[in-house]
Amino acid sequence: MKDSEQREIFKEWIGSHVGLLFKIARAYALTADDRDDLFQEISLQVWRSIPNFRNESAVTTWLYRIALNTSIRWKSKELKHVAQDITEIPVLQAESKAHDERIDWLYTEISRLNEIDRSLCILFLDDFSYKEMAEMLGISENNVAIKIHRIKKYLIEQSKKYDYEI
Amino acid sequence: MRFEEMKKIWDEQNKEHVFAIDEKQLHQNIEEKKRKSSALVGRIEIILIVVNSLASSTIIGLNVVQRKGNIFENAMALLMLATAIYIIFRRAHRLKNENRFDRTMLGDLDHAISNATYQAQLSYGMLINSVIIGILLFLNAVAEDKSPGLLFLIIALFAITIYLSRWEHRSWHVARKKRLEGMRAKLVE
Repeated sequence: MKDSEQREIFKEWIGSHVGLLFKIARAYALTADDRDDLFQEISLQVWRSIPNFRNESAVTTWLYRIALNTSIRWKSKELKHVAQDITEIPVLQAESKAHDERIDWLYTEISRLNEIDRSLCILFLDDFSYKEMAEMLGISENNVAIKIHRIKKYLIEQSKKYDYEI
Repeated sequence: MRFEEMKKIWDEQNKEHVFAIDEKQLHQNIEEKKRKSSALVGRIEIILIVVNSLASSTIIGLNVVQRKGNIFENAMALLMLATAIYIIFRRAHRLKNENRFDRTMLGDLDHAISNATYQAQLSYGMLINSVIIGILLFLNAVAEDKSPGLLFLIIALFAITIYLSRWEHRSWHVARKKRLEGMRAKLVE
């Protein structure tokens, strides 16, 4: 694949799915610096994955898999600051918008789940079916169903405390 | 709060962009990261192959030209040559197996575990290699009646090298492999 072709695909993928990548980076990285670092790491893995994309799955599914897998490994410090000596200039720029505090609460609770459950929670909230999640993760649908049940139960429990506090 | 409500809150964020990206900067940073971090395993393999081949051929070459050399020197040269050949073989095997993993998250984790296992085996192999080379170098120095000061220096340098290699093997390669295996266990549990 030519570099210009890869660059074009990368630009299109990042441009069209930036919201998806932000959500995943936000769920796995708590501070702005870490979020930026993770976002760049995801972008790098997306770039590297382009020659391997064979249209066997939708681009969105492909990007979820790359982004979640990168985030899980980043969280476990395997990819975190791989090139620590690089003086990186941030690429994420905040835009001021009206803010819903409940979304912050939801992200905080998601970030309390383990790395794997976090992925499942994001996929579930983004309307993936058990079958799609099982295919993406390489585990059985039953396994997915059990984990999702546990996650939902946990979030509902935590929301009771939140409702009580406000 | 019911789960449906959480879902609604989650969906709401899709309508807004909280961040924008500096595309030019992103591209520059990616290029830099690619340059600095790509193919670390590949670079280590190449370095080990080149260093072992060069050292081995230098020792053999000098012994042939000077018509000298003892069993320890020759054994050291052969060991280095064998190490280089072994790494070439393992590298070919690793590259051949790169695409045998499923394109799922579990497959990606298995791939990462396989790479981490390979790196751990490589570092352990180099640790053993250092011990044998250290012993051969020491025996060679004894055979050539070198001074006690030099013998002590050889022991000290190899002790430090082995200690650092052992530390790197355990706290970096083995720890990384265990972390990945822990994540795999979380995924399939």
